[in-house]
Amino acid sequence: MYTIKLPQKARIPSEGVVAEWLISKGQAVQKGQILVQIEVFGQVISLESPLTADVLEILVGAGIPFSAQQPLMILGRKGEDVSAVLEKLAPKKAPAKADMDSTSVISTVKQFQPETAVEAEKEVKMESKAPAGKVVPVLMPQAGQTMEEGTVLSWKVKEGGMITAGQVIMEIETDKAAMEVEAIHSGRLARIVVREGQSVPVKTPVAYLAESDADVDAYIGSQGGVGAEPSQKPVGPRASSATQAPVVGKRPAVVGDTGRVKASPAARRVAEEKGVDLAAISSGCGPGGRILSTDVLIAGTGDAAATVPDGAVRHPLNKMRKAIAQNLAYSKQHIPHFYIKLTVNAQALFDLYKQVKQQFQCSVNDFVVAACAKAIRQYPAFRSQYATNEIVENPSVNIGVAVGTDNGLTVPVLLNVNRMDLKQLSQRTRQMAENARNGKVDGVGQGVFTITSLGMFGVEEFSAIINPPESAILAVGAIREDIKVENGIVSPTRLMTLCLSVDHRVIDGVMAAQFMKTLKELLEKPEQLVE
Amino acid sequence: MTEHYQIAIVGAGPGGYVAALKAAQMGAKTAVVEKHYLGGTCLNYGCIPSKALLASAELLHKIRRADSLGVKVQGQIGFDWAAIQQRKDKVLAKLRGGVKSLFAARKVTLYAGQAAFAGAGKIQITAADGPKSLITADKIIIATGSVPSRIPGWPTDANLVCTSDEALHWKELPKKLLIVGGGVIGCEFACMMYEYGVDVTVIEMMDSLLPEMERQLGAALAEVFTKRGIKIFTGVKVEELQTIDNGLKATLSGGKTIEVDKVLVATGRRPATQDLGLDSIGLQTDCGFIRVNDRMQTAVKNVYCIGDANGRCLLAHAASAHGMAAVEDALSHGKDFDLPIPGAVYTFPEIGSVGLTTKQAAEKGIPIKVGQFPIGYLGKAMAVGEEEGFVKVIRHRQDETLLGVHIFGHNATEIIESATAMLGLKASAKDLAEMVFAHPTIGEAVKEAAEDSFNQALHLPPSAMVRLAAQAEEI
Repeated sequence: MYTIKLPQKARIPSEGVVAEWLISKGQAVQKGQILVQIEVFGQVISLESPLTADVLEILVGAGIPFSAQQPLMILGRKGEDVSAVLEKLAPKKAPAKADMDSTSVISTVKQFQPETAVEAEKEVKMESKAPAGKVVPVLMPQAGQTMEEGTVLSWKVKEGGMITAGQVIMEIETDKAAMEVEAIHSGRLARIVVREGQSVPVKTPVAYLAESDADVDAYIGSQGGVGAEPSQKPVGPRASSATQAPVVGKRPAVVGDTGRVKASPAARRVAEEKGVDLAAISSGCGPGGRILSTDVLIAGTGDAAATVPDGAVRHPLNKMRKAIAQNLAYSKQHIPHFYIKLTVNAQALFDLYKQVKQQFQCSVNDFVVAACAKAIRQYPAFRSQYATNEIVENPSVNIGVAVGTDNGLTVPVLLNVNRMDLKQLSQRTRQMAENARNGKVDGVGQGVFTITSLGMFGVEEFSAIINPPESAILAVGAIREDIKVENGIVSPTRLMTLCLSVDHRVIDGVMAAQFMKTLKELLEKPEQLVE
Repeated sequence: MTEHYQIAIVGAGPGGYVAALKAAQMGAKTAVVEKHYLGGTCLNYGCIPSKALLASAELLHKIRRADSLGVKVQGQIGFDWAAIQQRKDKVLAKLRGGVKSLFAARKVTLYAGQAAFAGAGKIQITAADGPKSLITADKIIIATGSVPSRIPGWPTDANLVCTSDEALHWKELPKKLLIVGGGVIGCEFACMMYEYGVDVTVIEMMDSLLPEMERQLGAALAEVFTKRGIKIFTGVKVEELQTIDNGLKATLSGGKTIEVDKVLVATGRRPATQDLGLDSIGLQTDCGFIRVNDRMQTAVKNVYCIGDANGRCLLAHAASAHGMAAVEDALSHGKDFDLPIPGAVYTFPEIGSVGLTTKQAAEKGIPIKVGQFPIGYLGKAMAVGEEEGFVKVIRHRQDETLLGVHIFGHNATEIIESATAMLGLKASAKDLAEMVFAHPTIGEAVKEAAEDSFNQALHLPPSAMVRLAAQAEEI
């Protein structure tokens, strides 16, 4: 086996950065074949292999700096064991030094985070073990200044297993790269709360170390509660106080008292180029909410058409169109949407609708609204909205019903739907739709949830965009004739597909699924809606 | 009658006095307790006296090279050590007076004496001549700083084995000096003492000078020092130190011995947190440091710790910044302190550094691109005869974020400020590369280095494409 290095020569600087590997681990290489490109001061060096062999290990990754005598890779014969060599070459981690304030891009989690203690007698120790009774949260690390959230790719340890500090416990992915995360503390990994495939903001707990599971429950319980005060006692590294996703990175952009929006020079230039109004960007990732160029690129709603084809007709945006564009663009970019689809057996609903229609004017959609009202009453999360550091729950069940008009989409709001019976609901809805077509929108800004339907056009299923500042929207498809399979027997029936779009900052998958399940139960036994 | 304050600060160094002025500015009734001179280590035993001595040394250095700029100096080039010390003392006295009058102007109450906690919110002050007084405060900031480390087991005669505390106020210069520790303080002393005619040897345990900083900086400084005639040994310790007639004999790792008049220990500083009565409030220390979070809060409610005593960053401007953060948190709304803190070394040529080093990038697996520009290529550098040094800019390889800037060269400590500002604003290296820098200046090298990190520096020839065979080593 051989380690491969930059040759020691007079005109070769003593340090460099690996630009690009042109071969990969496991590959066979020939003598003279270029292995890697290296950047040093004044030169780009293509390094040739000095021998014909197999690539056993790459020691310095692309973009990583190294110093002259550092080995870059190991060549040898396939199958040779490199573990002993890797042990020997493993860089000695620098001891936790006093200069914790030199800009470390990854907040070295060895920083001490004492409890915000209440009594003077409280003492706090540097934890390296999770002692009995104590719960230590394992946090999603911030691996990079701009990293705001990470996705857990895989857990390398099972729930309940023991881990030691330094051990790789999970693999995460950020928008930049996948990486392994080492444990800082030793202890028993009592609970994993962020599963593989799930994303959370940086510095939120992904798991907890504790001797007993009961301690973990108690700890999570004490951390929870909407609008918890930051002075709530965290144990060990400071954990976020909100139960749901805490605010990460974005703060509202600051407008100085001269009216000038705080934005970086690069942001201003990009905004000008792209015709984006800086004042319309609600928050930036820079210090104090300063708008950075990356914020502008995200907010930019697209360039003016670079080349206008012959015969094209230009329609200036009317106020409604502009509002829709702004609101929904904001929604799509700033609200982390996920979607749940559920198909309801609508035979009973269809039959009941036919019956009720003979007594008073109504539509199938009215039944859906009524069902939603009951479900929303039951699930506070669906009448809540996300705000900085807290989730604001609305006691009223105000449901917006999307209405298409000649000018565009508008969403008048039914107030306190849970207090209406089906007849009132139906009447009010028709009235609102009429008003909307005449330019008057009822209940603007008071909605907590929106229902939109394209069933009248035969659309089976679609997903809608959440109407900010709400946390969810239900898209309703047409009732269609279809088949059901029950106990292996195929029979005709009527189905209706519902698709729920949800703000993951406020509502998790399980909660959304339970909501949909409740909706399904209500719609499949619709007599509950007419009582 | 026990006087009560909204905020009391223990220590009037760069952390404490800045915090006190800030608190008073915010309208709080403020007290400061200081047992020694106002201005702390920075003013009296650190930053200021060392820069005053370095200024005289640098002038000597320049005059000795006057010929290279066509200037003729007649007679012997010499210096008056007593006059140099006197001038330095005048500067110190003026600054101490300055802090005192700022306190008076803002109505900060100054207590002279040693402070000790006497229970929650209570501080007992013992004056030098005995009398005690007691004050209470809603919030207390500990800013007691640090003292130079000494090496246990070594001769304790401060005339023979001393630290920077003594060295800055030497009445007489040694003839042969051994400096133990090649960090910032060791290097600054080596640089100045050499100009004052002292035979200087520097011993550093790690494998380069300035081991905490970007490696290239220490290597470049070592090269310059060695060329001048300062002896440097890295990767070596003093295994034994004995007193001999008229001095000391040091035995280094590997057996080599050196005989000197004095040894200057510059191996680091330790926190000054003893005798503060911390037990009375249940505050524990960690190796003497009082650990804090990003708002400078300790584990005890309403008690903060800033500066060297908390161990986060042993620099005067860090202490001041901590002080501001602590006062904001104590008196209004705090926020986590996360600004970049530059480092400055006042050797000649100077060093200025902020942000990530290449070693830290490698350890964290951050993909980077490095731009570099030799100061000698600049018009200003050639025109003024200060061609030594380089600027190195480190940026994130993919998203172009500026990560670190390291400067070795004339006025580096002033030039680093623009880089720190850009880093603090989370600018991209591209922003830095596109800024307009005045010409002709040394600072332009920062722009060029930033451009080089995109392979776009115009004042550098394009990178040569070279093909080489790698070196293989059997294992």
